[in-house]
Amino acid sequence: VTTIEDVALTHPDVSQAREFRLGAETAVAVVPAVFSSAVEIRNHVWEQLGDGDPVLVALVDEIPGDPAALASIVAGLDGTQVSRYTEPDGGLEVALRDIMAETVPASRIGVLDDFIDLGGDSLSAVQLSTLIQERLGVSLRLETVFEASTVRGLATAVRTEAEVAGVVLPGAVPSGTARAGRR
Amino acid sequence: VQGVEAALAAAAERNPDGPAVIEARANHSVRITWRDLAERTAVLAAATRDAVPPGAVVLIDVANTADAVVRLVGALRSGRTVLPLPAHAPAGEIDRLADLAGRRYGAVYRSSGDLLEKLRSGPGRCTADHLLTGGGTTGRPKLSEGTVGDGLAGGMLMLLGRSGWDTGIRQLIVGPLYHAAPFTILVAGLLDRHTLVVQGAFSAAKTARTVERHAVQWMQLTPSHMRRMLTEPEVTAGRLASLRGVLHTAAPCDRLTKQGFNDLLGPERVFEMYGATERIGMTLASGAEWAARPGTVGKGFLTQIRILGEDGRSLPVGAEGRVFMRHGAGHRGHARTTASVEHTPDGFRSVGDHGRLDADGYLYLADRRTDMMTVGGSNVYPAEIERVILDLPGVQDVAVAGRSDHTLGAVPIAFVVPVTGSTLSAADVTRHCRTALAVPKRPREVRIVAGLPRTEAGKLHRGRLIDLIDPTRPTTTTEVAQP
Repeated sequence: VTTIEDVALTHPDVSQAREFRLGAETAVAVVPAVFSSAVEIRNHVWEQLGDGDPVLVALVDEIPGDPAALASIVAGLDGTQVSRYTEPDGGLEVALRDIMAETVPASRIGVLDDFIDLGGDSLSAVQLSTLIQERLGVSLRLETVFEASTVRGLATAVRTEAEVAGVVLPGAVPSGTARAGRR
Repeated sequence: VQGVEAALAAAAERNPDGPAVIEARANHSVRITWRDLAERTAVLAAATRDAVPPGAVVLIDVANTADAVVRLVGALRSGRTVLPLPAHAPAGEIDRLADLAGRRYGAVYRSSGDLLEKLRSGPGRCTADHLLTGGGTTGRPKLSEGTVGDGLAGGMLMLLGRSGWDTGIRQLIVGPLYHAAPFTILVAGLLDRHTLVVQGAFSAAKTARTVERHAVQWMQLTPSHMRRMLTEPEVTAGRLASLRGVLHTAAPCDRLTKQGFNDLLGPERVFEMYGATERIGMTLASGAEWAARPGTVGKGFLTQIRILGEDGRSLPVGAEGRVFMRHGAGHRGHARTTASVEHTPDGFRSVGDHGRLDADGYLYLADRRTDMMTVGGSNVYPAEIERVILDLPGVQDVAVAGRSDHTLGAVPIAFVVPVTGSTLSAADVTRHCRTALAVPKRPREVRIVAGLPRTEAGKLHRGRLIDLIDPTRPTTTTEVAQP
């Protein structure tokens, strides 16, 4: 039987892994060799295990023996040290998720995944800004795109800018049927 | 070097007779057209390739002259690794650099004027485009590897574009070409078809006259250049009218100087960048942003910033702690497996600076002046004390930091790493300092230690040094780079 821990350890960045429960969620805590992206490891585990619920991934400095202590450490971590897959909510988030998928190497994108953890860099930020202009008719500064940093953040920035500029967002924004965010 | 080849070929075809390099002198100026630059550097590159094996390091003397720009570009085009150093560098220093480069990379050559000589033989094994010397102000020199593309990655060219920089403008290179920032900016300018103006050694009056005479549109300065320009009567707003932007970097700028430059040029033409040679991220502040938030070095530019406490947890807005940054370009590949600076598990990295963020995400640095302490009213610079101690035989490395003192405010403490096998004692160091330093500069305590907390690039973790002085402050760091 292949465990989540075994699968996590096949990622080149990972030096230790431990499966645990965080409330109702299945989670894996990972100690990177130096540093890594929780989103990338989440997608790696998800792909290797085949279909099933995504696993929450937490990047930690060390793994204590006591599972309760581990859960308490993870509960106090900063945003990008924990990755939890979140589905898009509404057509705009779906559209932005699909645009994001064209600009970063990540295979699956949750709406709370950080742009840098998805593998984005300065050039992908430029591309993202261009595609949002082309597809949605909303012009966002490069800095705004970068600061928004997630699909959900971008949706808020797009709505705000559309309102200020008097742009009507495309009503027929494709819903989940278009692509599943996979490339 | 791919980018340079393409940029030169394109510029030479597009505008063969336009000026590529201008050397501004008091009574004359030297102009080199794009066609000339392309042809002369092609000849130099071929000659260098003939004489120097692949993978070898070429030390190249550069003054800020048109000739030096040609030799530098020619050396870059040769595909050999370029290490720029000051013209008239003392022989001892060249020898030390040749030793350092030779130990790591094998063959070392030196290009000086028309001469090309071999300094160290052996097979060359350096793959970087260029090497820059770091750690020059503290301790022994260190070499940091660079490639032209990497230096401009992480949005560097985009940041420059926010500071009045544009394609094809006239740029004055003010700082010495062997320093990291002027070198990087020169290469960026070349790639962006700038007319590169050089003017020899810096003087404030000369800079103002060069800007006026050659209608310079952009330049990079350090706060020390700015201070000298503000006290020079020849520097007037009228002479600087052609400038679209000035970007200052390299050191913290005091408020009077910053305000002075905002007044001189107008805040819309003054920009500040904060970054580190380790390229962990960068911030940009326009003069207007600084005027609205005095003291800020700006918001992260394509960079996320996190302020962490000594326990490694994020601190709330307004709280001062250690500055950690990350940007996309450094977040993959070998960066994830090479621990050269402190980092979090999700890739925020720190070079040891302290600071805070305001509610809008503007960064304010604190403690950057750990480089200067006030001892009984005298300004004392650790770097000066460090240089003196380095002169003492048997010293491998040294760092000086201030310890707070009830009566004097602060006193200098020296941490000295002896050369292996040396019998150097703290008393030897104290005796040596007594003969070479004024009273406030003499270390109040000398500690002999096995190693100093330095990054691979040779930069000292000042924060960790402070932890060493005050053992009641917890040390949270894991790796200490042994020199």
